Amino acid sequence: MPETLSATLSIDEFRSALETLTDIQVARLIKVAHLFSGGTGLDPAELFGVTVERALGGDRKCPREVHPLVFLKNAMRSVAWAIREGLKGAPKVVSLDTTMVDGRPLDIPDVRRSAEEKLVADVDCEERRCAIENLFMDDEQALMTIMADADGESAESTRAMLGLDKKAFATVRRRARNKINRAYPGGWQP
Amino acid sequence: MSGNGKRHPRDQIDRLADAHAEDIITMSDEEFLAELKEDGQDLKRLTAQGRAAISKADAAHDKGKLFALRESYKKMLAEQAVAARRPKVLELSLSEKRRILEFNASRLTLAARHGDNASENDVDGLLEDMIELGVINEEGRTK
Repeated sequence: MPETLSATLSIDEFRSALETLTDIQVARLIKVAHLFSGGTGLDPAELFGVTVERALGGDRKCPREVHPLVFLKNAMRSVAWAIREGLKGAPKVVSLDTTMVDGRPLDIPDVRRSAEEKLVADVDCEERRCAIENLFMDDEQALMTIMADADGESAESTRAMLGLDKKAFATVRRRARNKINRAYPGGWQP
Repeated sequence: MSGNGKRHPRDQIDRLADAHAEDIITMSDEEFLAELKEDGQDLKRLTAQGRAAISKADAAHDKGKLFALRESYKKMLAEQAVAARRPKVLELSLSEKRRILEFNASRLTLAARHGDNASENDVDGLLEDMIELGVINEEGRTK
């Protein structure tokens, strides 16, 4: 009788998949971590490490049909979001999601916020959003892609709106990304 | 980032980061290397950071696994210690236990003589009382 494969990779399979990541794939993940780590109290490598640890601990499982690279990208986004939510929420309790596999709390700076501080943080986000836009006052195409991405527009519709082919669109996005990275080396979220 | 009040700026920045993360994952190796160069970043340095993070996570996972195994070992030891303290007579069958109770019935109080209707827990309790009172030893033999 054939053995049925589970829908997700086992811990050992995931560990093996990690070992097969190429240097370029690992570097891509650190670049992605940089986009998501802002506001978490973690640097990009730490966010990546915490995400891998959660996956090895079984908290987050890689679906068999999803490439580990894509899984880790999505998991980092989700871990970063959960950490930011845990930090901003009141009452001040440590979320289970911010616990290491051996039960130790994740060692992150205590920047949990009161309601007043949360308002200030919201203002910070609004200011960051405006500041990112201001970086592109002299680059209309990049500014348009940023506005569309932030509003959740698909790449296809933005390309059509700007009349750009795939290659030109990728160039505009890369230009925008490099400029934001240079302006905010600590991550895109405040 | 149209400034639409219904859209929270934090979510907007998240969506912006999502779109760019997707680009980073899906672009060709050549495009990625060209972007690193343009951005003044070093592939070796980024890779080293990533590999170090994986090793650290792996070590933390092993530590967590070791922690769990240690806890499980402690639990087994505790269970074994409890079992070792349990008088041997309590390991006998219920009918054997009842026979011992009956055999020693004359030396028990009236309340303790109704062993036939008692549950196994009650029978065990009575046998433990008898051991404590010195009526029987831990193996159920009459003293």
